[in-house]
Amino acid sequence: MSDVLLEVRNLRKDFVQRGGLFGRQEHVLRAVDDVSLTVARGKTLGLVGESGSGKTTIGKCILRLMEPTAGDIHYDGVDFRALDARQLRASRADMQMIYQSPSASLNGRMTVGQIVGEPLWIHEGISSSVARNRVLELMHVVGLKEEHYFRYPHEFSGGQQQRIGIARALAVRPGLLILDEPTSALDVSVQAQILNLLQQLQDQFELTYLFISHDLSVVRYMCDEVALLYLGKIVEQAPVRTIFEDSRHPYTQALISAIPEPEPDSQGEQIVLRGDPTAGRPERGCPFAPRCHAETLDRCETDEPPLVTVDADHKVACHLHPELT
Amino acid sequence: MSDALLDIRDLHLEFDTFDGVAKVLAGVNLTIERGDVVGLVGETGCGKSMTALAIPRLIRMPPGRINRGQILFKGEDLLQRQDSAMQEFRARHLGMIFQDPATNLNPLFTIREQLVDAVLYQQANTRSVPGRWRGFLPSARQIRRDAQRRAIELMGLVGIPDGEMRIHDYPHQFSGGMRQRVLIAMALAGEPDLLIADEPTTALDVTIQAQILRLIRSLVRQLGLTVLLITHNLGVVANTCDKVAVMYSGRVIEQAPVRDLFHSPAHPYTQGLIRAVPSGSTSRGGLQGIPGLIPNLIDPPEGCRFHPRCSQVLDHCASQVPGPGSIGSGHLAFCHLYPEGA
Repeated sequence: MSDVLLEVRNLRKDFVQRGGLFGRQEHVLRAVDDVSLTVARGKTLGLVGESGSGKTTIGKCILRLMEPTAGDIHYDGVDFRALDARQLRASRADMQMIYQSPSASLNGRMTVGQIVGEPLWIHEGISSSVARNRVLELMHVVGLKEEHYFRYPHEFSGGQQQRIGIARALAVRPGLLILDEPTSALDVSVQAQILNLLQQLQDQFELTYLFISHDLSVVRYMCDEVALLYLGKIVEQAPVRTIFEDSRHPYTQALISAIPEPEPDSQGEQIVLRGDPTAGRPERGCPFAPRCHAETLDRCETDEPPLVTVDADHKVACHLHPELT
Repeated sequence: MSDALLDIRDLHLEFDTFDGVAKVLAGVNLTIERGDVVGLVGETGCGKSMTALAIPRLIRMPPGRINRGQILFKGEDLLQRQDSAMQEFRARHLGMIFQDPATNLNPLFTIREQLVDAVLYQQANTRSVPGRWRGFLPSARQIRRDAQRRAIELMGLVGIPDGEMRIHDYPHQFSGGMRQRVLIAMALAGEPDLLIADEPTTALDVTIQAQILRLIRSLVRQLGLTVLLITHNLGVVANTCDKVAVMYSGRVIEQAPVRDLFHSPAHPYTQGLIRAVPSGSTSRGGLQGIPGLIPNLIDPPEGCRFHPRCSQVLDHCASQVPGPGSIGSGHLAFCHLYPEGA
């Protein structure tokens, strides 16, 4: 039993956009570019980035809800991309996803009991009537009550709906949960309840989390390690403490300084980046160069910086940090 | 007292629904002084957006009903105004921006058409020319040309580069942050006294949020604007506002200068809200939510609406609505722990 549960190597995902008359012009949008990640068993890796950084696409590629263009995905030593449809279905029970919008990810015509019981039927062939005790146990684990069994999703608040989604994901006893912005749609007091529930479940069931978020204060609370994405590339990766105390990449520094802290005096000098990422990547050079606030070198405009190790488990892709190349 | 630009007193708003009467606002008290940035915070359904919409009387009645209270703007009660006079108030004194910049622009028209419209609209509502001078008025073309010049000027003011070029673009050619800037430009067209910003950065990325908040602050300094900033994000409030009002279930439960609110929150709900935000020093498992759920507005709890979830509940919390208790200068809490007049 190795330490690494999930290993992603050189993952790439291209989307082909067609334009022009009869769609004869092709434009390739590289949503994920050469991303490598490892998630240790029982740990939480945070994937952080702004909209369009490719964080959700990575999550979907790992589950093969979307076929990656290139790259390897190894889950628990198994080459995930080599599996055929049947093997894939069996393996998927081990990886479950929780989505941002709890209301949109639950079928409004099914009761809570059916929703939580459905994965049992699909993956283990147990009908929901037989599985009732398992379902009730799962509902109890996530903090739902027995009388909720026959209710419909619309009768619940956002936080409760997210609990239903979590119970559904846990039904098949997964090893890895991909949490795609699980609390972004929730109020802070409810967010705190859900985050605590997720931590408690992680300890209880030895779960491994891939935590996708744009909210760095939540990531700081939840994650052991963080990978920051900018336009499909990892720009910095390190243990969470290092990211917050000793970040090297100018983008990371700007993001951290832009977190609105609930503390009127705490704010140091805030770095406000110019422009926005929707302008797209420059043809050459560092993808972040057009918005960079640090001193830019000539190389930034011409060469793309590789992701290099600057310290034991700290990787940065920036020309200002050429250490240990 | 005389310095208050806007003073909302004991505002009650109800909606008729199929399930009964929803008591959406149940006695909102809020004072906004000239030149301040006031944050209005609270969770989903607490009535912060309803308060914002009630000020310019943008709530459809029926089903809505304001059955008590006053909205004093420069000492005059807006609730007593004629509808036509309200239109003039909206054009001259008020600018509003909303959460989702994409849905507030018409995708079929260029920014020029929409921004020029906003400029012309506010002029039409502010200019009054006696009939006999009509012949000397500038031509329609001249008016539009002036309006376009003004629109480009506004784009510069809100930090959109190359206004002369970009004004001919459609909304989809702008990014989210730029669209929000366009909407701010529209809101500023009438040189308003008061800007109401309803979750202006919620749909934006953090780096863009920082840009927009910085812009709002600089506009306050530059134009002497007064801002009511509605948000659920306590961090945004801490960094942007001078004063804060916290709402819970249709009432303002605490109002204070920003430092006092974060350093010595008085109301148990405010305390809980601040504790629920993960900060750098929160250890694993150390985050505290507020137990329970927000109350139903059709059948809300008697007395203080927070009492079923409150950890420091007293006997009379369930029967009496707490009045304002003064804690420090400008710091009020509506809670029985701080008796009225004490």
